Amino acid sequence: MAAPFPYTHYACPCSSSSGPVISKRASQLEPDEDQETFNPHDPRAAYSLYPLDHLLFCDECSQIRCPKCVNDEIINWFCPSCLFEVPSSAVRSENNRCSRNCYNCPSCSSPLHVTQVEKQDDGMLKPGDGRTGDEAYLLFCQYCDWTTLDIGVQFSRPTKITEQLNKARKARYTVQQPDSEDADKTVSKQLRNHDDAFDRLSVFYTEQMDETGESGNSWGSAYGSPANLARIMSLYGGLTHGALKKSREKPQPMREAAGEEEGLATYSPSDQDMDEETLQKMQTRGWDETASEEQALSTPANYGARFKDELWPAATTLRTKRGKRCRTCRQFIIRPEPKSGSARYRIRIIAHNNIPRLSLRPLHPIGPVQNPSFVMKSDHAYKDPILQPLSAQQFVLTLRNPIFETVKISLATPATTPGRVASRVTILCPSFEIGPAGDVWDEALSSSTSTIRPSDGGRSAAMASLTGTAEGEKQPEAGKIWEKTRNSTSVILEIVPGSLRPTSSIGLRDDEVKETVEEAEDDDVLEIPIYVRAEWTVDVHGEKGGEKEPKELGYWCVLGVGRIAA
Amino acid sequence: MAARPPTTKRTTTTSTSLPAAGPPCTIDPTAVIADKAQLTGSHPVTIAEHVVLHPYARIRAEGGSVTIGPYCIVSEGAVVGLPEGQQGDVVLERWVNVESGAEVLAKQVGEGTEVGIQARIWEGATVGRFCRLTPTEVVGAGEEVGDFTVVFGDGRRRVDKTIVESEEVRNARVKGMEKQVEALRKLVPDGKAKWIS
Repeated sequence: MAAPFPYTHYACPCSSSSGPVISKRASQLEPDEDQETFNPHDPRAAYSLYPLDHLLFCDECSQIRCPKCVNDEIINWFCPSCLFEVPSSAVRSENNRCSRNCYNCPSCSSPLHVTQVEKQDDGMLKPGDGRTGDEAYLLFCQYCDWTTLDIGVQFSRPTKITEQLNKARKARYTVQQPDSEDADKTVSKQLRNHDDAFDRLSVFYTEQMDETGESGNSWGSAYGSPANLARIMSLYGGLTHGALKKSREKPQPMREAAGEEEGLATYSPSDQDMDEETLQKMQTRGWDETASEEQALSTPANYGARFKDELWPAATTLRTKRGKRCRTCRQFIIRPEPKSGSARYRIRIIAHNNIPRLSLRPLHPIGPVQNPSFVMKSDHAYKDPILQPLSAQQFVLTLRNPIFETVKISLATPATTPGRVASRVTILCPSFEIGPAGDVWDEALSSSTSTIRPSDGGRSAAMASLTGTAEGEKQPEAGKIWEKTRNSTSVILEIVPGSLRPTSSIGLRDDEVKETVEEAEDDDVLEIPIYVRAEWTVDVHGEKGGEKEPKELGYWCVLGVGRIAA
Repeated sequence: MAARPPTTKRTTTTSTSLPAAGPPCTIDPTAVIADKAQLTGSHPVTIAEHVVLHPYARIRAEGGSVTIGPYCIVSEGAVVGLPEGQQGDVVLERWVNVESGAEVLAKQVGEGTEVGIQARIWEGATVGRFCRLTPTEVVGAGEEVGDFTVVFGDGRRRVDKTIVESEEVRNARVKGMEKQVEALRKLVPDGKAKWIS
């Protein structure tokens, strides 16, 4: 596991063998009856274990929800550049791109800016660019200095850039109407333009669909068009004899596009000249001038581009805001605010705020407890804690309550951990209460006084005097809570790590041992499965002193303690 | 050294001890050299008219002479010149903008070139006219960057056609540079007196 020890991972019930848990009350699944003991060394376990901050929580089902058991739902589409919210009906027709003034540089993909330039009188501009007045505008990349002048386009207005750009592109790539002799050539040239080819093909196939008539109905998509739907409806209405007869005629089979007029682009020997030309150009200009695949795929206008000077600015692609729904009850678990400028959430139910958090630390730490995130020097690099096999060690397990009610906790763990290496685990106090969470200020102010020592009576004082320990030092005791603060409770966990070598093999020689032991990866990692059951009551309808409704929640956790020494 | 207030009185009285650490300088009276700018080394440094050296800019004439052309700007933390142990002169032509944290060890940087934030031009390289190094780009030792080249996106290079073909864009850039110098003249207090011996 990549996480540093000691870690806690929480199991999502969605991938357990019994399937998704539908029962509303978690108490119905007793760990010993309905579910088998969770085995962290099971190859499947990796798919259901998550750190707490990756998990969500559904309060309708009272269950943990992992990224696998929620459905994403798109709330809205917006342009990341101008933050304009695009209605879902327009998204498709605008090709998932911003149709306003947002463009990205075709050379380096950073956003382009509209810049005003003084009027130029060089011969670069083609007549009919529609320039009026003394002002001209450019799209300008502030990162790599690319401008639309590189493709010879200037704008007369700083707004409606898309419209002006389309116009310029049409003027550039549409060839004169085929009235001259080389009409064929013109058409084939036009077909190089994907838009033209697509238009012709779509016109052809629409005609075909109309001609074949009812046969088109067998297509699922035929019902989508209102015209077809009207025709179907008229079938059931009154039909003239002729029309009826016609409709019963065997329909003509559909034909594929066959000629250039119909949008079929075929290879002809005259294309070879063009290819030669392209090759020549590539040779003389070199690699730097050739458009990369990424650049050519930046926008449909660039699909046929071979060289960098043929690249057109790419309209900014739209982004989405997504909500997450529970798969079982379809309730929104996460729902961002639909306004594109805001980063807030309307609904956000995360597991962190809803289920008790478990954390583990050694009772007698050897060195200072360090967070590997804060290690600066390499000689202080994080090392996995090594556990000595067959010697009892005590750990403090702290449960922190994030909810505003007092929670009754029952912990359950198998006496020996599942997996090849069996370690003995004892929870000295498996059932206890945790106080409610509250205001952070309350906690800060009262933390010094609210720490309740477990029954610091005469007996423990007598014990201390007998055993010779200092008065402040506590002894772990069965059935006793180790430490309690306002919303967290700690208990002692006693662990006897199992030996990597089977105990029966003491008398065997080393090579024999190796034969018997099949080392699997991470077998030496000591992971303890713990079943946590939390019970609490909530006020119905949020009224104090009203009807109380009991709530229960059960889930499996895995505590990663460390590696067992070989 | 850098914290010394540049009062005229002071300069006249202690002028014999002041330029001891500094290189032999030829500084145009219209240049603005911030009090905290550093001029180090022992090779000659020439600073032409309307140059602005920001505070903590460093002219390092340790490996050879440094010549800075008119209307150049060297920003905070930028270094121009070769370090000790390397031999060679560094020449910045007109309107060169060296942004903060950049390091210019080049043989020559052509007019109108912009060296972006924390860009590096290693020793012996030559950069042409009206080039642009985007932030953190590197031009290797001895490399040659042609006129009007844009170095961007981790070493990609592109000839900026717009600026090649259009005199206006070049003029606009020059004008922008000159205006920037005018603005900085008001903002950066001049401390060149201590470098003039």
